[in-house]
Amino acid sequence: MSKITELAVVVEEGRIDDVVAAVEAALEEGNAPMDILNAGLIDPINVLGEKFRLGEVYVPELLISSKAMKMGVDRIKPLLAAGDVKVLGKAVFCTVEGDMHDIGKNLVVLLLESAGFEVIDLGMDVEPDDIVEAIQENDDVQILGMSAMLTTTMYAMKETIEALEEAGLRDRVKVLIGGAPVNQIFADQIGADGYTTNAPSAVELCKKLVVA
Amino acid sequence: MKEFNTRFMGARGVSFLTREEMEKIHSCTLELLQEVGVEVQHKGAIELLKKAGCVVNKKRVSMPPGLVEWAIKQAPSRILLYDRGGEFAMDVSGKNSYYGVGSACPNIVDSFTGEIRLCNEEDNKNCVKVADAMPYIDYMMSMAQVYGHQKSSYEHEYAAMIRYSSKPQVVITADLESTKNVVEMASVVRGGMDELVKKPMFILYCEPTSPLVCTKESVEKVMYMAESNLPVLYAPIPMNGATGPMTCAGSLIQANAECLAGLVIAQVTRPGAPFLYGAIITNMDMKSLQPTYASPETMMESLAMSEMGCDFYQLPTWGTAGCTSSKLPDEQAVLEGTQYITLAGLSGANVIHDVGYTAFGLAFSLDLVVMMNDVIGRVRRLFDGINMTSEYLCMNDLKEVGPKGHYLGQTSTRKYNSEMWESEIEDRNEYDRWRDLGSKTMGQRANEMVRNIIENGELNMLPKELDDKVVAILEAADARERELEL
Repeated sequence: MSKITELAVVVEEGRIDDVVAAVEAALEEGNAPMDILNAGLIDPINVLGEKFRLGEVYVPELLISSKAMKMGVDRIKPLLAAGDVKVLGKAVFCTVEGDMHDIGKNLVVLLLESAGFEVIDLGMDVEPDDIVEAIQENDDVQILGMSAMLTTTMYAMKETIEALEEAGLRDRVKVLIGGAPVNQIFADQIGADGYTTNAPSAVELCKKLVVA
Repeated sequence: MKEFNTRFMGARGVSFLTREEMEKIHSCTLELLQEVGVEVQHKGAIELLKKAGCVVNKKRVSMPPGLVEWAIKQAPSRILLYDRGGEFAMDVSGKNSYYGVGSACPNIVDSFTGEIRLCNEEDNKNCVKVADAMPYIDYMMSMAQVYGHQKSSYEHEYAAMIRYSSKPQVVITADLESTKNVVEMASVVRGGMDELVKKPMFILYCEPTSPLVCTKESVEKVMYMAESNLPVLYAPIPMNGATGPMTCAGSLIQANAECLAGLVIAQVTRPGAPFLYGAIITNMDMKSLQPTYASPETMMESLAMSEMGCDFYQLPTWGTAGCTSSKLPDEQAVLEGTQYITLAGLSGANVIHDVGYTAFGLAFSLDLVVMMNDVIGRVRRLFDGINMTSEYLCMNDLKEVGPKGHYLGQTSTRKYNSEMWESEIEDRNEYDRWRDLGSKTMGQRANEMVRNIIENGELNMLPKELDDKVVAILEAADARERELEL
C-alpha cells in the first residue's frame, strides 16, 4: 500500500493521533503535496460523505474524520503554493440574537467545512449589527447562515436581513435559515434565499447557491 | 455464545412476593400435595411414586413434603442449550432471560392479505424463516400448527425448525411416539444420543391438566425425557375462576403443586433430571369465557412463578411474554406484548415464550414477532444499565468541551455512539424524510419487513446430508400415520 493510500485509510478511520505522522510518511515517500492533499486527505472525506448520505456512517464518524483531515491539511499547507487549496465557497454562520441553541448550526458548519467550505462561525446570540460587520469585513463571503430554536428569537433573522439591506449588502450574500420553528413559509416571508430541514441538505443547498 | 445472549445486568427489578409470602405459597402447596394429592394417569409413574413414599389410592397420589423437597433439591439449577451447529447458545439459569416465539397456533394473521385463516405447511416454513432472521429471538418454538397430519403434525413443525433455523428449540409433541421422533431428528443432527445429552438442543414442553391431573401422555413424555437425561418442562395453565381459584394467590398455589408434581415424577424417574419450572396462569374473562393471556393479573402470576422458581427453589424457569388477546397485531397487541416482555425480563424468567401469539393462542402474527423483536432489543439495552466505569464518566470530555462547546466531534462520541441501541422499525427520521418514505406507521414497516424476508430472504438450511436424514424420519412418521388410518 502506498503511503498516500495509508493516509487515506487513517483519515477515513478518523485516527487523529496518527494523521500527522501519516502525512509525513507520504511526504518522505516523495509524493507531491498536492497529491497528498487530494488523494490522501480530501478523497476519503468524500467517500465518507457518500457513506453518510447512504446511512452507513453517522455524524460522529464524519466529524472525527474531518478533524483528522484538517490536521493533515494544516501540516501540508506550508508546502502548497498559494491557490492550490481549492475552497468551494465562503460562508458566515451564526445563531441569532437571544438564542443560545447552536447545536444544529454547529452541525451544519462542521459538515460544510468537511465538504470544502470555509466558514466563519460567529457563535450564538449574535446581534444583527455584528453579522453585518462580519460580512462587511469579508468581501468574499457568499453565504450567510442563521439559526434559531425559539419562536421568540426567529424574528431576529428578519431584523438581520433588514440590517443587511440598510447596509447595502443584501445582494452580496445568499441568506440561508434553519432551526426548529422556521419553515419555508417563514423563509419566504422574511425574504431569505433558502431553507432546509437538516444539516446534509443544507450543505447541498450551499453547494447549489455558490454555483448559481 | 452470541452477544445478544449476554446476561441482563439490570434484571433485579421486579418482585411481587416477599420471602415470607414465598414460604407461605410453598407450605400451602405441600399441604395440598399431601392432603389432596394429584391424579396420576400412568401406572409406571404410580409404582415409582409409591416406592418413593407416596400414599396411593387408585390414581390419586398423595405426595409427602419430604419427597417434594427432596425432588426440588435433586433438580439442577441450570440447563445449557446448544444451537444446531453445536455452539453454546443459552445458559438457562439465574436471571438470564431468553425470548422465543410460540406456540402451535391453529390460525395465522396473513401478512400479505391481513386475513386470519388456518395455517398450512408453507406458513410453518415461513414462520421459521422470519423468526430465524430476528436477532433478538433466541430460540424457536412451533408457531403455525400444520394441518393435514393427524398424528405427525408436531413432527412437521419440529422438522421445519431444525431444517430452517440454527436456533435452539422448545418443542411440543403429540405423545411419546412423536417425542421419540423429535429426539431422533435432533440426535441425527447432533451426531447421536450421547452427543445430544452432552449438548441438548431443545427443551420438551409438557403440561398437566388443571386442576391437579397428570395425564398419561404428559407423564410418559416427562419420564422419557428424564430417562434420557434431556430437559423437560411441565407447565400447568390454570385459568383463574375456571380451572384454578379466582385469586392470584390461590391459583399460584395450585399451579405450583401441579408443576412440582411433574418435578417429583421426573426426579423419581432419574434423580438430577433437568427440569424447567413454571406455569402460565391466566384469568378467564367472564364475559367472553376466554383466557385473557396478558392481563395485569396474568403478568403478576407469571412473574411470581419466576420468583418462586429462581429465588425460592433455585430452578431454571419458564416464562411467557410478547403475546396478546387481541386478534390483530394492533395497538392492544403491542401494548400487551411490550409490557409483558419488559416485566418478564425484569423478573429474570429464563425461557420466555409465546412472542407473536395473538387471539390468546388461536392465531399467530409475524408482524407482531417483528415488532416484539424490536421491543426485546430495547429491553436488553435497558437492562445493560448505566456503565459507571471511569472511562464512561467522560471527565476528560467534560473538561475539554466546557461551556458553549459541543460533543459532536469528540472521539468518545463516535466510540460510544456505536453502543446506542438502534431499532430496525422505529421511525426516528425528521418529518420530511418520514413523509418522503411514505408516512408509514410502525405496523406498516413491520409488515414490509415480514413480506421482504418471506419473499427475498434465504432459508438457514441444514446441510444436505443431515437434511435428508431428517426428511427420512419425517416420512417414516407420516407412514406411521397412514398405517394407523388403515
